[in-house]
Amino acid sequence: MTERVGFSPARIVAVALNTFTESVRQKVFSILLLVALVFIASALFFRQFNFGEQFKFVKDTCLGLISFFGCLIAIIAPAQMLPSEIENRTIYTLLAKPVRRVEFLLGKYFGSVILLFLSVLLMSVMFGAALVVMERSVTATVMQHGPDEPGETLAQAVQQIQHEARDPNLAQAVLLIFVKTSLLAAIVLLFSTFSTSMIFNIATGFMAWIAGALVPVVKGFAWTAKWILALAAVVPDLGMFNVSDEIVQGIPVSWGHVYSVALYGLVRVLILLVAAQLVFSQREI
Amino acid sequence: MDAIRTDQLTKKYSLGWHKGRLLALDKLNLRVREGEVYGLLGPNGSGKSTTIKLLLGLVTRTEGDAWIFDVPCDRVESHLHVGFLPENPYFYRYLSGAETLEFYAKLCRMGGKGLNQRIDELLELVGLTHARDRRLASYSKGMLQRIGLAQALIHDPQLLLLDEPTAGVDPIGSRDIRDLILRLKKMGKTVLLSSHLLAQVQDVCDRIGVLNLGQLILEGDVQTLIRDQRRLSITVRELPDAGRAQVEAAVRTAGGQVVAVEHPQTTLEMLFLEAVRKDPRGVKGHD
Amino acid sequence: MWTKLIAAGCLLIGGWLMLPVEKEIYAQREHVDFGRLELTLDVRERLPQELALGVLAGFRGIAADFLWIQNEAFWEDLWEPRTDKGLLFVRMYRNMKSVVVLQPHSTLFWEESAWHMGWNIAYAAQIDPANRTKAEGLKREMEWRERARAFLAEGIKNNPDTYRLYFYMGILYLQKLASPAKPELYCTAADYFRRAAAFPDAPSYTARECAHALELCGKPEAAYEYWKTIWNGGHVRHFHDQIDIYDDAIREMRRLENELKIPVGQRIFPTVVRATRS
Repeated sequence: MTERVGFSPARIVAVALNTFTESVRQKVFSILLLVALVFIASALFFRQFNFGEQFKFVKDTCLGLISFFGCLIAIIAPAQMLPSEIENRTIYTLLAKPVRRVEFLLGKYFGSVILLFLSVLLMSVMFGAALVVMERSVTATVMQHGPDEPGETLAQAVQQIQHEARDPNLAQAVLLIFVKTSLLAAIVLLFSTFSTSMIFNIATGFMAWIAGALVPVVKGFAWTAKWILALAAVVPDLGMFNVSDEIVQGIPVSWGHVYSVALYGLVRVLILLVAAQLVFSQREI
Repeated sequence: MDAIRTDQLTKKYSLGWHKGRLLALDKLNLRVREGEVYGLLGPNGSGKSTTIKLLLGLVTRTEGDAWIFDVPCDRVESHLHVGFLPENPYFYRYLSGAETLEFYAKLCRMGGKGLNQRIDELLELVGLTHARDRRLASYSKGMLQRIGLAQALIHDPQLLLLDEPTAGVDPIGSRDIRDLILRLKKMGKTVLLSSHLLAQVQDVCDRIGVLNLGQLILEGDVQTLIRDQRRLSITVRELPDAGRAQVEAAVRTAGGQVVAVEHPQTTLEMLFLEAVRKDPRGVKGHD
Repeated sequence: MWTKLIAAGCLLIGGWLMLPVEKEIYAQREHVDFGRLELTLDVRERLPQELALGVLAGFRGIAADFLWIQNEAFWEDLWEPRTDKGLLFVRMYRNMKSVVVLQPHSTLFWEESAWHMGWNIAYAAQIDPANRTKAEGLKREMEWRERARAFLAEGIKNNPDTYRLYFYMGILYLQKLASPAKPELYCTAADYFRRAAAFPDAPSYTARECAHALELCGKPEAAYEYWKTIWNGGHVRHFHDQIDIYDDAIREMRRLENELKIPVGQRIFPTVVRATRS
């Protein structure tokens, strides 16, 4: 009996899909129905404003909500994964099989990444639908009442509306929101490798969220002591992923920049996963 | 080759700052031979679960060594031929019985056409064919225990570790599990089970070990251990009072000593099983 | 215990190594003043507590939108008969200032704020029943128009790379600051329109407004010359709506050639011939 058990991506996939299935059957996606309602409500609520304002408000609100609910799922899903595995003793049966701990941990992580990807994707599709509906209604209004801007012709106004509604750069904002949520999920996963309390994981997850947003502010103080800077360096800079505001304002963001920010996120995830595996490998279950 | 071998296996749990350490297992030397059913007995907190967790590498040993089929048990390879059923397992509530087995099969890198057949076989073995596609959330405790056993068997392991397999299960359910263990033994599997329900262990185990406060205080062959060599009991039927006096006199003249004369009692378990079995509505209620 | 320390060390060293990367990424954003917000005491005083937190958590756009929507309610109050309008103006002005501090690159906020000041508040201040004399109303109206101008100037300083604020400055000069008494300000308007029209993404009406303002400031020849450069391809290639502007150019140049009595030989559209025949 000298067989070897190698590192197996297939096992990671099995754990990830199982984790994902479990979240789906826990009706995580029904939260997103609520999001859809808010999207529609916001599109209707802003109708009294001129079309430039309408598009800005709806884009700000929808991107804000995608980011907010994405982060919420990124905190709650991984926060309960390990504690519930331990409480239900399913982790015993899993690790009693020829499964490496690193495979289990990565499977759990990728399970929540799949969940986050689909959530962000679904919300983005709803956002796109809201924009399409708005483009139609605003165009109809302009056709009826004439353009907003002085000196503008109808054709120009319609062109401007299409320009606002079909901004391909919105995809950049959504992509970076997804990377941000994956990073947050890795932070929470790290917490859950040494704590069995779901409440603790969720609370620290929220703190990491806030700290991550504040880190760039802290680093901005040049006079800060070196050791504070070192501590701040531990916290991934979540503010870096906020390009939504700029994109909605029409500031061009290059894809090169988006890729380097995404890459930054991936390296951060890697660091967190290494630390999580170090803790988890020695964890007594 | 021994199925399980431990050498001075010791586990101390840290209790936190300045609170010292708890000695959960103290220099355990255990040998479980291939093909036998070994019962690990002891009161709660005596170290039974700790032993099993150490064997599975779920906790790290403080001192000593342990091997499963001669593979050190902190190596993942040692899991290749082990099936494990934890105490009061729950599993993934949102999966059906068949999905659960399929998931564990994938973890063992099983797949292909044979897998479905294997799943059906196991469900048949543990008597859950009728609940194949029901979610585990609706399973009773006994059913969960049996799906747990099926899960432990999915990759056809040589060794089974069963932690309190009958805890919280009603007498019929535990009878079923006992029968299953005996069938597994016939199939040539090695079984290590931990329990504090002594009556059941007596029926299935070849050998037992008794743990108390982390130390193995008694070990041996069940039949030898429970046989009281100095006592003898004779059970007779329809004996008149006069006959009884003659028997007692005969015992005394032969140099023996009558300690007690009483009507043998049936066990409560036997009584219960008989009553349920006689119920014309059958025994399906527990599923 | 040891592995936890190693994990912590791993996070520290990893984070430390990421610092220059973070710096580099922020440097990439520097050229547009991107993503940075000096949360000065000034802004924080104006922001409600919850909004300040939202701003810190990266929901700056939503915080600005919230203030802006609040302003919309103030604006509706402008036309209500009330005696504390002066206070209302100040509140709107504060909100507008905060909004552009939060999102200095949203041209929408700059232009709409200037429009509120130069058109709505200015008028509301002029007809405010609290004014003791008619002259006081006119004075306040002029003050608010001047604020609108200063505001747009600030906006242009923050967003020099888009046509929009130049165009709005032109409109402000054209409609509110210039008058027959101050015709030179029409020239200033024309100047802003010209700069707006020079942007590659500017719509063609920026050019039309430029020629219009040049005529108002008493320089029809300059207007004619401007149309000529457009007709000859000066800016036309930029506009998405070329056909539109060519129609305008033909009509306007014909009119100006007649009005300026340009010799037929020098005209681009010698329509005089047709005129004599009819």
